[in-house]
Amino acid sequence: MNTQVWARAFWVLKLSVRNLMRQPRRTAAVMLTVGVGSASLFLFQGFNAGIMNQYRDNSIHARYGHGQLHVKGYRDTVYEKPWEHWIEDPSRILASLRKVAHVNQVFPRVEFFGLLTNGQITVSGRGTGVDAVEEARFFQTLNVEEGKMLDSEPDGILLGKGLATALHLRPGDRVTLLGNTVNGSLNGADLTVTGIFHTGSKEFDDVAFRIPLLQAQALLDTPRVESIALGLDSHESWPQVATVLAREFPDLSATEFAVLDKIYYQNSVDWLKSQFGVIRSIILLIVVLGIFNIVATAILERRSEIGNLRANGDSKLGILALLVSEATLIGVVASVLGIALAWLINSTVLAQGILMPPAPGLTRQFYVRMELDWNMALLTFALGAACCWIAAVIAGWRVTRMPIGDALRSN
Amino acid sequence: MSQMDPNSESLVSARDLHFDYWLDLVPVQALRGVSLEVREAEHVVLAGPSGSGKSTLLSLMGLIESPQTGSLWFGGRSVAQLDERAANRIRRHEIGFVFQSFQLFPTLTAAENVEYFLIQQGLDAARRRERVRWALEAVGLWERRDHRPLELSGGQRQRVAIARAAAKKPRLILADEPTASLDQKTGAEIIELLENLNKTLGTTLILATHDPMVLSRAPRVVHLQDGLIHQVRSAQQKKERG
Repeated sequence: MNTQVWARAFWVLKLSVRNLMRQPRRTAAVMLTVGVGSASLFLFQGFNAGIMNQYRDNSIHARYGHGQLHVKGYRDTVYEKPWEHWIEDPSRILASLRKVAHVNQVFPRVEFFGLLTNGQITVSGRGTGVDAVEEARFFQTLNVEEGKMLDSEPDGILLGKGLATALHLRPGDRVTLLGNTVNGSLNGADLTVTGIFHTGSKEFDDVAFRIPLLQAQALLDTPRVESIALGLDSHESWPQVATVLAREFPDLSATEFAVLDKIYYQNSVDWLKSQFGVIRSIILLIVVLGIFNIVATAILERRSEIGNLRANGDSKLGILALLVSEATLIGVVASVLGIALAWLINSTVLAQGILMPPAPGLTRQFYVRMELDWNMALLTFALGAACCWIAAVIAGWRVTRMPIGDALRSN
Repeated sequence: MSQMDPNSESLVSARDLHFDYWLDLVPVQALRGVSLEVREAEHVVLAGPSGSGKSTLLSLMGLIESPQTGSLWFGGRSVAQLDERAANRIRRHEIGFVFQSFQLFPTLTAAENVEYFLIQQGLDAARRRERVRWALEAVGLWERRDHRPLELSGGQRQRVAIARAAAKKPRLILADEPTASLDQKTGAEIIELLENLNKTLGTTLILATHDPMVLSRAPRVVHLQDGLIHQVRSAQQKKERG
């Protein structure tokens, strides 16, 4: 009995393989539909992943890093004297943070309000004290319109575009920054404009400026820092790093960039995901219907042959096995070819990626590369093969249920 | 209804068969009360113009269609009592078909075409090879066993179809217009092959045709017209009429 089953299976496979060559144009049409459908779906998934990943990386490198540390509860409360709730002894903490696995860079920051004057005009602004050298290596999306970044200038200042315009300042000009120390007394610093930047947000560019952290701490007369942003080796390391931080720095809380940047990043991502979901469903529907149609047509064209098989005593199930085996074979080969085609297109025509306009919250265009991976390939392959399989089962079931006489009279 | 054929000498026994079908929304009365007995090892030709019902009768006797009214017996078994599996089994083991359009698998060689239906019969590889050789030698195509249908002439394709039907060692071979696609000489050779199977193996042979050459050689001709048997002529009667 087993020998018979194997002999039958061998013949089914043999006939299936040969039948692929029987009508090359029909086979090519089916394979083209399945292959192009699989390739489209694969590329679209790659595009989705690429745009999301690129947008995430741009957001991380725009402002917040992979996440930030604050004193516990600081972000949730409005204090009369916020500096009293800043991070104490930052040097020790920074040294410890640098030893945490996956943490590559640390960015201590303070934010404060101050008055900027050129001697004739005085404008209020919101300043950030940063480790300029370290930040310049990580935050690459700041748009410096004129001049250069802060770099290692100890008395440098980088001005937002609106602020520089209001004060009629250009790179190389001197400006005086006045502010209150944490003790309430007035303090000041004479600084040199190194550059002028914009972020795309006029409200922000009208008030924002950056100075070296040490200069800001001297102005505020505090050794503390308000926050420490982190640059990790990968965004995937965040959960692991967050666990270590929670254990080693119980007084601090670590917040991921997506939470810090919820309005621009997370909402945009959620919105894009919904949009892509709809588009993917439409593509999927077109691909599935295309495959169903062409596989079903190819099977229905063979009614006469199926009638002959049934007339000679072949069972419905046996014929169905033959049709399904053929369609599955086509599905498997065409899906693999489609996936290979997508990979080829991605590494040649689309090697540079696709130039996209600035995403929400960002100011620069960026190239999106199709990020294809094996999981996607496997999913696409399974979909292509399964579509052919299901289409063959449905069409085969219909055609094998036809009266034999009608099937023989077909064609 | 009894399950045993009242006329157990017959391989096929049809009583008052009716069969209607729809053709392009028009009802067609293909058979309107046909009764016919075909004995084991007999050679019968169904004749008549197109639309007379001969192909329908052939389909019913080959268990391809089921009679709508009337009764049909095959090998002593009532066809109406057969379930699908039993009917499949009879078609697989006891009936061989030869069609006008050959119905060969274009991707299989002549030998493979013959072998394919032997797999369904559950024969082992050695017996299949033996049967394939015997059948292809019988139709004179053993030398061309590795050729595919497209590499063969029309007559050779029909020979492969006959070899395929004969290899099953069926009790009955049904041939629907087996010479219609062939020239006269090739047609005569094909009929000769079928007659040989009938004479040497005792295989019952029922042909549907309106080819005068086939009719002239047939020992018994059943003429159908408008779904009814119009005339039955035996070889003796043909001889008497000159």
